Amino acid sequence: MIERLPRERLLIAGSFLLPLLIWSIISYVPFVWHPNVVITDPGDVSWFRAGMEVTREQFSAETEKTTDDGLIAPAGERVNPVYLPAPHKVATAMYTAFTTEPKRRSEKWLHESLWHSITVIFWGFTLSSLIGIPLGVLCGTYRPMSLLIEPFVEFFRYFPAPAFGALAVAILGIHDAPKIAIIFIGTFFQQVLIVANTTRLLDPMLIEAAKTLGAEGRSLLLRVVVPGVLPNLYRDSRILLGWAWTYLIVAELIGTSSGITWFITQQARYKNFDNVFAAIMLIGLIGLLTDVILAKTGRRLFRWQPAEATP
Amino acid sequence: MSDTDTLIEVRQVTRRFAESTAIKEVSFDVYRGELLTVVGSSGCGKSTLARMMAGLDSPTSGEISIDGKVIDGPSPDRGMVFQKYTLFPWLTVVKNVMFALTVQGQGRRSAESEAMQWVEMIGLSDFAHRYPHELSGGMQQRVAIARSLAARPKVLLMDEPFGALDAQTRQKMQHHLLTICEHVDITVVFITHDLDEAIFLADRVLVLKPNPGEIQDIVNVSLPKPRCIDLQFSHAFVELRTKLASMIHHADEEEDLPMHMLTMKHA
Ligand SMILES: Nc1ncnc2c1ncn2[C@@H]1O[C@H](COP(=O)(O)OP(=O)(O)OP(=O)(O)O)[C@@H](O)[C@H]1O
Ligand SMILES: [Mg+2]
Repeated sequence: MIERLPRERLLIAGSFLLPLLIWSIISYVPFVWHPNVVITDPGDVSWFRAGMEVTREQFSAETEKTTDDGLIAPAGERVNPVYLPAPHKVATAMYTAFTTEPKRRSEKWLHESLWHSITVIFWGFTLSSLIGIPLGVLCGTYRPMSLLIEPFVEFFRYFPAPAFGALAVAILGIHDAPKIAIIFIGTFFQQVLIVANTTRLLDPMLIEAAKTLGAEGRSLLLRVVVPGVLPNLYRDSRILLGWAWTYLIVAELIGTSSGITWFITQQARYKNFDNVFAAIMLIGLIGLLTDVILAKTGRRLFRWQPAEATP
Repeated sequence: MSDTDTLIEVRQVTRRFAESTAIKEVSFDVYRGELLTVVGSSGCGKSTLARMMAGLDSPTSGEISIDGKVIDGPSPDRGMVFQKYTLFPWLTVVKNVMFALTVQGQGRRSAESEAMQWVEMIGLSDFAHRYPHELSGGMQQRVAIARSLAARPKVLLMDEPFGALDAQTRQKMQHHLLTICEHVDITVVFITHDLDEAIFLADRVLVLKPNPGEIQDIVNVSLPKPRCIDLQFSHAFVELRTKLASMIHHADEEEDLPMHMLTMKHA
């Protein structure tokens, strides 16, 4: 187990607090940015309405005009554009998104959308790993296998996974299957190559030592190669899982749009940018949380590794 | 010695690599139950020779046989201890020692109790359930020896196993090895470039000369057993040491001749 020094904890906290601080300054300190004005009282300006947002230039031009003409000047507050909501608004949005019922009956709650996204990721990644990891280990262990499989995989991985969207829908229908397929395609080919390379990095001396102890073929593979590369495979998988999330957004747009992506596009259409931010951050939180849990589990699983070897 | 005492026969073995000949037409016998040390300067083909005996590498020509059977690959009847630490880091000490037994299909229970005896023998019972990274280098090499011996090999090949240890630990390890050899019926081929070590441990010392690796001489060590540290100051020991040193020095000088270097480069 790695013990973190208090100073290190502070730095880790700072890595999150710093961006939050910058965001807060931009949001709450008016003269930093605040390029727009929201009208509280239109005065005598005919096209102003209360609650309307105009640029500062328009506002001051109209104020000048009204005072020159002896009319009532409009009143307003300086604000940031709608697409940059303040932290507290996003926080409220995150809370209300979980507590308010969707506007239409056919629509889903935020947590339902999120859960849907998670299941799509889970199946895409699991299916890929079930085939990709064993295949990669075999390629990394047996040279003929590597020569037979890897060149094609190397070629295929350059195909952008989203390009298969239309094809996947045509074959697999419009629901979750094509989405899972996109995540699978995006993960699988990279996974085979990465796992094969990781396997090849196993210290050849361990293999030689095992051979002089009578291990060969299957026993060599299962008793030496697999346990020897397991911690590194685990680390690879954590990284690959992160990549799978990036394919999710494209995957959810094909066929019938679904999951968290549907929620985000929907909210953006209504200009509820606080909801958009809330959803994006939720994805970040889920990703970070899974990775932290996986890292902790990894350290538990691979106790035999010296502490400095685990990140 | 008579023919029946021969365990390993090395016959006219040559190993060529793309750019060099590591071993050239080497022939010798390893006798059953002896401890043969192999010395020679760096790069004279000691490791290559050991690897071929282990079956991890094969001769370009010539053959090596054990008990009359030609070696054509690694087998548990030839254990090997490397200079680099090669314990399986994911297995505890006792599980490392059990490795060969379970691979050969022995039951977990009996394998474990057998392994524990080996662990006891190397004096590491208290560390039986520790992982290799928690052990010192000397301890790891002791476990490596036990792990090889547990497979009940006919010969134990050791390629500078104590090379990475400090002088004091190294001396302790030499004692450990000799004690083990007293208790276990085993033949040892021990590679080193440390002459004191070579003489201290050996029944016979095989001296290799470099470029290409050929046998310079095989020297009998008729010092009394069991060996103790004071032996190193005895007249016989010093004399033998001087003899071997001059042999190796002589071989090295030959190699250092500028003409020789030139022909090597153009070859
Ligand atoms: N796999 C290989 N490919 C090419 N050349 C090799 C290989 N292994 C060894 N050699 C060459 O064979 C010669 C003997 O090497 P070897 O490792 O057997 O020497 P050594 O006596 O064990 O040296 P050291 O005392 O430094 O361990 C060297 O010149 C080396 O470059
Ligand atoms: Mg060597």
